[in-house]
Amino acid sequence: MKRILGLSILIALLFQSCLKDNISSKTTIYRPVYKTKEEVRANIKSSAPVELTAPGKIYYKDGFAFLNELYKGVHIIDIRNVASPKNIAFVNIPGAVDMAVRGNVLYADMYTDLVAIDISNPQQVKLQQVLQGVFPQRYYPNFDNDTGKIIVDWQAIDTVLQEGEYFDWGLRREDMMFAMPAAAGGGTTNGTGGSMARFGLREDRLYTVDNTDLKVFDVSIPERPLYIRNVNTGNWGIETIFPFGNNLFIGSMTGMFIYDVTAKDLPKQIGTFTHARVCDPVISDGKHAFVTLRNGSQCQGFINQLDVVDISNLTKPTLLKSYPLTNPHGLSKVGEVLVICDGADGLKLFNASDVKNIRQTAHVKGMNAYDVIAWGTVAMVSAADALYLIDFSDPAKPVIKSSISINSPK
Amino acid sequence: MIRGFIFAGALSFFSSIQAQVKDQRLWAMPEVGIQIGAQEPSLDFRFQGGIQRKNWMFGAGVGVDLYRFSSTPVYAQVRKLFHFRGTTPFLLASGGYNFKQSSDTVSTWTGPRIYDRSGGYYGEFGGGFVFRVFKKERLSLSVVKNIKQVKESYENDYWLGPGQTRTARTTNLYTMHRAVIRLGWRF
Repeated sequence: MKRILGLSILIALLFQSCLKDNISSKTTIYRPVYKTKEEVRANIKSSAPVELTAPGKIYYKDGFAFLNELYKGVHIIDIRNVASPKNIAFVNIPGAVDMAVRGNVLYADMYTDLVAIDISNPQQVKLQQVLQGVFPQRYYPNFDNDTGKIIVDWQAIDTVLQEGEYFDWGLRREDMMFAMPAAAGGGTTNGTGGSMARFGLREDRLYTVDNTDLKVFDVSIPERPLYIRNVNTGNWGIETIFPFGNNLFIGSMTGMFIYDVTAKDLPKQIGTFTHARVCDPVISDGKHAFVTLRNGSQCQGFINQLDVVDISNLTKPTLLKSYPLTNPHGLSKVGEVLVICDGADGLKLFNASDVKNIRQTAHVKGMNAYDVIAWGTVAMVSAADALYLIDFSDPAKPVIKSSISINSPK
Repeated sequence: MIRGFIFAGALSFFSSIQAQVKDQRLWAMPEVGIQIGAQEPSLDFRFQGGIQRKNWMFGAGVGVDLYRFSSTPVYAQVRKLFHFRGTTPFLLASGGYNFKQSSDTVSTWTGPRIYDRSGGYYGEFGGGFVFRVFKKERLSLSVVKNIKQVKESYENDYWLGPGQTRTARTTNLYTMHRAVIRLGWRF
């Protein structure tokens, strides 16, 4: 019996060299598709309208909506007839995430560059100028990026990896970087951005923000933007910019910063309103600042609310009152009507005539609302499934007048 | 090797049907085994039975396999018996399917990730001895090289830039090679 048992163990040990767990992994990796800058610039032109698939920030000017197609370009949509919007053209701008419009010139980022494009004729836009390397943070830090080339697309590759093999450098994972949200400001010749914007126009200056810096561009000659200076804010996690009056309201993960731009090329920080670490688009009506705070994987934090901040003394902004919300994103205000995108909880309209007693007047459900621009009695809402145009002539009974659906890739 | 397992399973299955002849007798055998592989040693429990005709045993069985992913193999088996100095050495081969159906949710910092697991093939070959204890009881001691498969799939997000996320499904196929020492009681 002992001999048999010993022999069994011996045989088992003989198998040992081939006792292993093989793991083969079938997955999809994404490789960047590069083009040279020359090729990309030559290809910046408008095309026939294309389907909305991965929309980003929104912009409004003179009856036209500009909707960023993430990393691809900008849709131009004629919304002069709110009930019947027409997608009229697509401007191909690889790497575009932010935009602003002054006069007939569209400004957008093309990865590290700022491009100025004449959109007088949306069907035949013309590249006017490229300011190279003004957004150096837009390089992908995890790539061996050839500075002479630009990522214009991502190619999905199904692959099988055996245990011990690793993903090639072309792969980017969710945990490598943090997404940034985006709009721009008022003025007679400037368009209006959403509250998630990183580009803001005030008079003849374009201000842009990135994670830490504020940049100033002279756009007095719209088609010939001029880079003026970079202002290190001394803060991090900057997400949005909202120009109003002589001030810039900058939203960051840790607070709202107020800059005075009376001297337009020398922005000067004059006030700070700090809060817990969350994402916080901000808008202002001159008397108050309205800040939505939300949590999320990028934003961290555990707060979802609207903060109303008294800015009568710009150097000492003071919290007046907080209102609980579900997962607020972009917001906009027209007169007494405050419109807030509350994420998956839809769009909410409030009467903000008394900021200490803001009352919800309507709730539009069934949309995952991201950003909004309101003017007159119309709100343009960017949501996960569509771009909505909503008439709120009666703030208690908003009506969806039309929408353009988004066909997101699966 | 995989083809060998499949062939052995098919052979034993069809052979067991063919063996419906008069000089046959039934057999059954619960077994417990210790599995040695790349992971921590673990146990398996099986119950199998079938028909013996002369020196061939044909049967089928079901088990609980606790190695790495607990699963339920169902298999067909064939054994060829020999006779040598009072013991009965044998060779065996089994082939079948390793049933596994589970869904586990694991928290990751980007949110919950759901792992769906399903089965794959199951097979083994090896040999052993049948010997008597306490005069009438017959025990079986065997050593086999055993393989089982488990398939695991989950969705993962790739962040390609601000707001540009793609979701892809990853499928891992685990093929686990073990040596198993089993003790069975034949009746």
